[in-house]
Amino acid sequence: MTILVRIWGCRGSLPVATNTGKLRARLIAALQAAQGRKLASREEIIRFMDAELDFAVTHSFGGNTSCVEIESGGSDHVACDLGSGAREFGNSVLAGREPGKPGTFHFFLSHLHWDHIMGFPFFAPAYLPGNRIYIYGCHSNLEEGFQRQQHPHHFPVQLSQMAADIRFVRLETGVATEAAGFRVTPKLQQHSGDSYGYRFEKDGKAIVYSTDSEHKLEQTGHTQTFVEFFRDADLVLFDAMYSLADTVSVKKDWGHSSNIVGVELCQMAGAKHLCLFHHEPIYGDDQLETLWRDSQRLEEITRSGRPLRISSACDGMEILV
Amino acid sequence: MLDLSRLSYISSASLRILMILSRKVKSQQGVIAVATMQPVVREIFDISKFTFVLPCFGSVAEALSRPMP
Repeated sequence: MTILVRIWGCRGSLPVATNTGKLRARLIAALQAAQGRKLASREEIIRFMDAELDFAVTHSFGGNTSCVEIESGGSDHVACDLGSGAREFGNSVLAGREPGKPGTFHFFLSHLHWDHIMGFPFFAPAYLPGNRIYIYGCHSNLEEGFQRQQHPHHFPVQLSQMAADIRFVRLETGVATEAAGFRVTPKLQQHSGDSYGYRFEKDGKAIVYSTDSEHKLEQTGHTQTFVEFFRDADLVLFDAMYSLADTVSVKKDWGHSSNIVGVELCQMAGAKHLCLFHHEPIYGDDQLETLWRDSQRLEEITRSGRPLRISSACDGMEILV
Repeated sequence: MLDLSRLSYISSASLRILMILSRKVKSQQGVIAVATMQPVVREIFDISKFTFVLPCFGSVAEALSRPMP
């Protein structure tokens, strides 16, 4: 059975938006490349865009913070984190659902830092009676984090005023739980205030969501636990926010990782697909494309067995597992 | 000065240790530089952005002829 993973938000720390200058630069690049070409039909234009324009001209890596949906194959909805991408996720669910028909949502929280919960006050299904929302996490102050975000100082609607049935479920690291047909196992990660990764397993498929996690691979005990966590995964969504040089120098102990460490861990674990995630907000699309191409090149020159597919998350991206 | 001519691969763990070593040397007013990287090692330095944090040279002779910061 195929599992669809949909990225609703992949940016780290803070949502970002494009601006007129950046949009015009893209248009100029596209029109310059099209000079002298006869592009009479929509199909010809699409073929030209896909074959001849740089990825960073035709795509955006997106601006919403972390929210990743994992389709369950049933009527329940499953997602990781409630960053600003959760707003579009909720709207999409409501647009596709029969009006008035309640739904059940399962959110697995990496941690309570703002960029991972800021979408919840704008998650429209939370305002509709009949909907049931489970928020899973390992932090002891899980519910308090959401209450504080919606304290009247910060937001006009308090958590207790949202009409859906919202339940917080405390998990323990290393102890699997069942949700919407998935077996979900949390794992403690190195991040300020702790964060947790999740391994989702169903029908012989494994998807790992591991963001906001720092790795020091010379610490072999730590490394081995992550190799086992990623073992033979069909997809690993991995925090590749900074360059390796940054994570060992100016951004040491900031709780994030790099593309290089992602490639190494996935290679050691025999994972099939690495998706670079939690993009640095100061990076533009051209820098993120370079980071992605560099990662593919690194995989190529260090490969010793089966190739590892590498993609870079974009808002709206769908990955079939 | 580290002559890397016989090194065919370098991992992130080794690069981290190199950075720790560089900081220790710097605290004693010294500098660590690397030279004579094989193409794959050079690519890993480029991809990891270590070329921005450690002085890199094409040869040991070139490195020794340059004044260190």
